Amino acid sequence: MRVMLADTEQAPARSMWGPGVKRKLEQDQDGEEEDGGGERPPPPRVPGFSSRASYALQRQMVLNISLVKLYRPPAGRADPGLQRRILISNVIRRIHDDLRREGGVRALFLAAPPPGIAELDEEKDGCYLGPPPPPPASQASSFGPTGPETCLTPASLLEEDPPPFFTLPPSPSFSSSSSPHPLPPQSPPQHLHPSQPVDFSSAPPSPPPEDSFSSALEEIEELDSSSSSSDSSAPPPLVPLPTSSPPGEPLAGAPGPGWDRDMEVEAERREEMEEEEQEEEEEEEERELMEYRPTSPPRSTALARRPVVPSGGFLTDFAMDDVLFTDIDTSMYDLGPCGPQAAGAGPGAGAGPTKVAADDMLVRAISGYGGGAGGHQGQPFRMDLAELDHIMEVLVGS
Amino acid sequence: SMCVCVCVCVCVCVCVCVCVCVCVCVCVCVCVCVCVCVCVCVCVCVCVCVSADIISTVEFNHSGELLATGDRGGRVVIFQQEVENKSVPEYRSEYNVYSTFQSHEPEFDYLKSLEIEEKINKIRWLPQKNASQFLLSTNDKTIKLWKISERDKRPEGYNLKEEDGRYINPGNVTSLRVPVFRPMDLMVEASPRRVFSNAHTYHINSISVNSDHETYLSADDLRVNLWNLEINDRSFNIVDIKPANMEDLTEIITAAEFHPHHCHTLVYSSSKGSIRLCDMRASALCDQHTKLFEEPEDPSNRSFFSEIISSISDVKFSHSGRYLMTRDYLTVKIWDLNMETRPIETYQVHEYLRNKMCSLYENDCLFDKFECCWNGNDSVVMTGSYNNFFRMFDRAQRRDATLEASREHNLPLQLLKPRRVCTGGGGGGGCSKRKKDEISVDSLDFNKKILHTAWHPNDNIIAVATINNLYIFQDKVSDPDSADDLSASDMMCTI
Repeated sequence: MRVMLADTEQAPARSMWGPGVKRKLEQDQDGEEEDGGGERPPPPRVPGFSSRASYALQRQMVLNISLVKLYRPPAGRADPGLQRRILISNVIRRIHDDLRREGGVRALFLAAPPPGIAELDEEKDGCYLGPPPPPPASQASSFGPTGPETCLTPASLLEEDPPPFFTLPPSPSFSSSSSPHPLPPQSPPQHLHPSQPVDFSSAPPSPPPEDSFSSALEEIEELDSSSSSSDSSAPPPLVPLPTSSPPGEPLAGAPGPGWDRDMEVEAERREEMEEEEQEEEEEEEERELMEYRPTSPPRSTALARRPVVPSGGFLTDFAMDDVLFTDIDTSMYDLGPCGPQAAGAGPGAGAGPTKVAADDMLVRAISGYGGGAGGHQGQPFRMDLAELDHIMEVLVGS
Repeated sequence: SMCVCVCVCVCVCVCVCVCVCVCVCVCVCVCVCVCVCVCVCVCVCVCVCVSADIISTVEFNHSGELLATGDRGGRVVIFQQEVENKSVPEYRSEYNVYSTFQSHEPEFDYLKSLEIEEKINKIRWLPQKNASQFLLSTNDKTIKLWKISERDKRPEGYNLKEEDGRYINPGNVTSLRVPVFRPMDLMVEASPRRVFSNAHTYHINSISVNSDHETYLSADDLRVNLWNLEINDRSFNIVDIKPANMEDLTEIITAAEFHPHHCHTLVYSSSKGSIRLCDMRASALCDQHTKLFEEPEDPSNRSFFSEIISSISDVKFSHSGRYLMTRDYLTVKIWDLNMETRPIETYQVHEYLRNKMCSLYENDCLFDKFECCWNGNDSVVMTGSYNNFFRMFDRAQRRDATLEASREHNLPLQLLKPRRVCTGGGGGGGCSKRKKDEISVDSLDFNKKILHTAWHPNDNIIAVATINNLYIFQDKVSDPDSADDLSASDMMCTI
């Protein structure tokens, strides 16, 4: 028996939990994706869902819900508790494993269990220092089975350990050892910013999401033209922005107390590995989150412990369907054996209406990741990653 | 009694205003909240009224005469059974308020910038040794031992003190007399005898008194500690599942309990659906379990939420000590301590929710922690569900019943009617409209949940806590000589 969404559509008006999440089944994709399903284990049977696309969509939705849950405090004034975070993290981990098993370009970015587990260690004093150890060998070895998909990835990626962190931002515990900050938007801005000193004891108000998004676009452009400097301003809390800053660039700018160079480099790697798609969605989510989070003043960790949340219908006000589904460029979900080629062919066609024109650029950049066939756009990336890996080795080894 | 609700208003503009609602409770059991909000600011306010009366734990004492409830506001309310005319076959016992006290206060952990909730997570009674009653109550971080004692006499006739307490000048005393005890109105006093604090980094989820009546355990998400009831500044850690690297943490402790007869045996359950039985004689640190109770996952039921719904929310030994009951999200399982491979019985509590798991995950209902309980002779088990339903499973007769705890549907002293949840596929829910006792899955109210239930140790009296109210049901004894088995239709409602 599967997670079913059909009920929400048929629920009578007096259903007890609001409108729920709308499901948009994209019928035109079924045929496309059925072909690629031969090599993988058959998708679990979903009553009411016969196509693989629905399963993928559903999985994505669960992933999104989980990410929102992980970073948003539940209703209530006290610490949400370890159990909840562990369970949600495990769900995310499970979905990652699922995606990795299926292979494809996406799988490579979903390298590791969700972050923020370090912040669960409430007994560590001080900041989380040093890079987290690379995930156990099982993760590295899991890249083996994706052999058939090697055409999708730069060879350098395959050899190295994947970065231990997933796309999600440095957890707030980078500045404090306590449980996650209840208001993620106030988490310290991206430490990588070379020119803006960052102060974490009193994190500045998070920047307007529009800025970060537009700066993301700028970065994509830079990526394309392989310019060197990163211009990332503080990102939205859910997803750090991609940056093309080569690892060797001096990380000047006083990242602030409690930061470690290791972590900075780590975060760079992390950023480069992320999926822009998810970032897009989550930035939009975050924008909406910001709108619904009217308390801006308490930025410091102590005061913000008491989150002021609106009434329980938070998610229903959220219009998650607008956020989650309208703008998914599902061409990237294509899980055929030559994913990126199909994706390369299809980004323009497959992309849904996007709010930003640079979405095409994003997609092109992504297909650049899939480098082997992608050609020239992948080159600077490969070099960056190689350098980054080298630096990582040096730092970790020492 | 009055409870003060703090209503926090969030305005669209930058200011934050705080409104104070005053809720007048008619009595502790029945909470009728009349909120009068006085908003200071003019802009659009979203009020979140936090009631302090949400019941968070329910527990009978060892004789069943006393029933303790803890609420989210840190208060403990104890009810005492008043038995009217027990000689009459259809006697009715009422539970009236016996004592009320504030057990825990909200605290603030300055080191971590975290608020420590005063909500009472668990109450456990100690076996009675003298005229006073003792219970342990715990919030997330601190356990307290309370002594509840009665006073129905007071001394009168002091030589140097007046009745109102003023001191008499010794020079004015002409004759001496011996003070005597005179009866007075019964007064029940609760005083904290021990405070056991600073032993848990994570949230305490269970406490359990050992059968030796000298020690007890407290369990949080990663550790189980052993305490001596007399010593409050020292505890021994007996289970520690914290990994060296917190990144590797995927499983936590959800509940723990001592065996009712063997003072060296304890069990703890995990968030992945496994139960470990430890023997403290084996080693000082019980990280190595003696037995592992785990049922392999049913591959046909795998979903993204398999792990969450397999997380065990409550574990209870049977009174005999032979069986173990566990509650996960959808089922109640009975395990034989001698068989670790699978449970001997599995009862579906609300299987119709399996198709709703995504929505339940979204609105956090999937994280609800239901408790379960045995009846006195281990023949019936009971647990709660949504829409103020609770379920009973008669193990011997293989029957089960769904009953509702609500004022609208139950009149006092009337028999409870069993309810049914129908699932029928397709639009309309498939319920027959004519049957009033049927309700469709989509009409269930998921805000009305029964998480805490308790069963009298000797009689068929149950206490069922909805969010704000406590219901006490009693088996209608029609024939004192009849077999004492519980049938679902014989429940009478007394409040």
